[in-house]
Amino acid sequence: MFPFLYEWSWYLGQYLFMGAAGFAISVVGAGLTYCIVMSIIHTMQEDEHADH
Amino acid sequence: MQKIPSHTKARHYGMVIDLDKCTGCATCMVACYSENNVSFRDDESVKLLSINWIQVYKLTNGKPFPDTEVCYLPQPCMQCDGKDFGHPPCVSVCPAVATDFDSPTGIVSQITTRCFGCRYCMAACPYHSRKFNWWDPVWPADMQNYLSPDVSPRMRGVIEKCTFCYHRFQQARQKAYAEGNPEDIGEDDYQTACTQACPSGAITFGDLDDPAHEVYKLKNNRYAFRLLERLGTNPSVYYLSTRKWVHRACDNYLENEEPAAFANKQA
Amino acid sequence: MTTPAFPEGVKRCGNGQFILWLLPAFLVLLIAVYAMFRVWFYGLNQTNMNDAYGFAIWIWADLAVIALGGGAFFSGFLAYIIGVKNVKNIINFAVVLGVVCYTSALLILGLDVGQPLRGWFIFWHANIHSMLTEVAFCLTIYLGVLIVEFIPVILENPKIQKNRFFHHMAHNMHEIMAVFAATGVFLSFFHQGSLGGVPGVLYGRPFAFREGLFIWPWTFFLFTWSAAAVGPLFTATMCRLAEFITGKRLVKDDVYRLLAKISGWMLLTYIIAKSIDTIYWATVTAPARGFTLMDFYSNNPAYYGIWILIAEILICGFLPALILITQKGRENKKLLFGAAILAIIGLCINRWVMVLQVLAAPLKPFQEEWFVYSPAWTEVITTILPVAYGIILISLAYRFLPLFPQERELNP
Repeated sequence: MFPFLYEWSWYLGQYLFMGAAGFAISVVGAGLTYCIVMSIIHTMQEDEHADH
Repeated sequence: MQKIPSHTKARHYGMVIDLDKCTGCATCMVACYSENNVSFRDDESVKLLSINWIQVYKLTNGKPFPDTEVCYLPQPCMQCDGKDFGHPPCVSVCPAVATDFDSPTGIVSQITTRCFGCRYCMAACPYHSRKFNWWDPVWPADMQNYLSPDVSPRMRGVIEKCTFCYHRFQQARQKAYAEGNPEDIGEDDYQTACTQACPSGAITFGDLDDPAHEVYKLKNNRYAFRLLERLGTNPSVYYLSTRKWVHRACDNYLENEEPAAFANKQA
Repeated sequence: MTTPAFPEGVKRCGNGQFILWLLPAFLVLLIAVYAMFRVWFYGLNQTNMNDAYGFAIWIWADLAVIALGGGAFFSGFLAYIIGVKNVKNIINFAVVLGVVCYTSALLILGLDVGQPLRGWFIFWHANIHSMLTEVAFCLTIYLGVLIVEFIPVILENPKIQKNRFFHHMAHNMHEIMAVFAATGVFLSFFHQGSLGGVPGVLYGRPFAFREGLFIWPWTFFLFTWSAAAVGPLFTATMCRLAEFITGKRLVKDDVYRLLAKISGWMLLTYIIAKSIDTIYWATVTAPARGFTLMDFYSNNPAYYGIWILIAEILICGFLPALILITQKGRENKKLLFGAAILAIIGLCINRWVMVLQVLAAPLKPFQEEWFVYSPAWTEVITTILPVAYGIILISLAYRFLPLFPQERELNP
């Protein structure tokens, strides 16, 4: 999985495979983070409106 | 697959088993059990549950008496080279690189502490050379003192298989280093336990690519063949038999096909 | 006024009746969990697997539930990426079904390995050439995606909705659902395919081996295509079953008909491709290795012989496909669901032969006997486990979450 491991080899297939896996995880992770951040902002905005 | 280091001499270890000489005594199996700390069960009759790195099969020509003929076929791991020298059926499927093709020797390794027991290699191997540890290995108390210190016993839940007594190759290599000639591993310096134990001299072991080795000559014999060769596994174990039915029993042929050694010839 | 625990405007049975309904499923689950711990504690000798059957009923169940769970990804693809609006009426249910299927599959995989504590080696020491590695990566990440798709449905429970953060979270997640769905489709394509690659690359096993495109054998594409075709049919059939059990109509008939139409055409194209693949394999691939087609279908100790191939391709392939592509077939509910059940059986037969028959067929001519295997009780009960667990999870989801947007309208 990582270059410091015995079975790692520096070639295209390895990059493609790990790249695709990393890409998928990043997309899902970024999507989730976006949702959480936006929800916090929306909730806080609501609280501000409620205060006024 | 490991690349061959530039300073290492490439070898291609293999075996030739003369089926016309084999008497089916199974000494090779016993020698292997003791050399490689192969565990056994109280009931060894169910071979699909017990472990043996080399197994002797009984073949018959299927004819009634007095034409009945019997042949015994010892079968270790075939140490396949695979399609293009380095991709045996079992190696490329292992998800955790627990088995590997060792290019400097042509031997297929099995790292039992790396194996997590998915058994994909077992499904990939057409020879049933790979054995699973369904139980914890248990030896009778006094037998534990006789275990070989050179080979680690395997644990429950992993695959194991014949390694061509790889520890003996390591010992031979160490000896060669100590003597100042790292590349000089002679035919006699490295022999497997089954080869040495065979009382009828049916098994020959050595470098298949070295013309000085006996196996080099034997594998080029007209009657040499390999088990299930047509699958394209490219095994490093050759068999010898002058009997056509034995050739036919060791590979699959369509009705109109003949084994290579007998094609266009009368046996 | 207290907030109701159930979705707005729908009727649910009383708690007592609900618990009584779940009781049998819980009992099965209990026995299955006992069997699971026996296997983990004492090892795989608790099963009837052996050195000929390294893969057995568990791997078949795994392949089958993943294929049937494919309804989640393909419905997601239709609803969010292609934009087929009507599919949205069943997508929540498809996601729950997907979660059940994929968690079950991973659980079974965790049972099936000899050293479960080393399971993480498949990621850490990944051999990217192995189809199983691809399966493990895509399956795990995709399960993550499915759970992400499931979260907003959970958050829509009225009690949870009262919390403003969760309210916004559900809304925001729905907003970008297409992103998650697209990732899910990408991952599903590869893991459904690599599950097909698992047998397809075994060149030492002539029953399974197929030529292919680059590194992918034909089975890679056939498995993906068949999962996409039959998965939605499984979703529809399970939805119909839920309607039968609850005694309510949950989705409109045009949703069923739409899924049936899409699946029907997919199934037809799949089964044509599968037939071509079978003919090529039987006339070119296998004979080159010394086998005839009938070598694989004769002397089978299970007696089904060539009938299993006929059942898979004709009875459970072409027949349901032809029913589903005709309007008359789709308009008759009995015909529609009869065809869907046939297609589901066909898919299960396909996964069965690609796992078990591969290992059963003798390869060395001096070993003429087929290898025989019958599962142990531990294997059977853990294979039933997904059903019991599915009943529980789907019942809970149906009771507390708005799975079916059309339920209110259909049950005034």
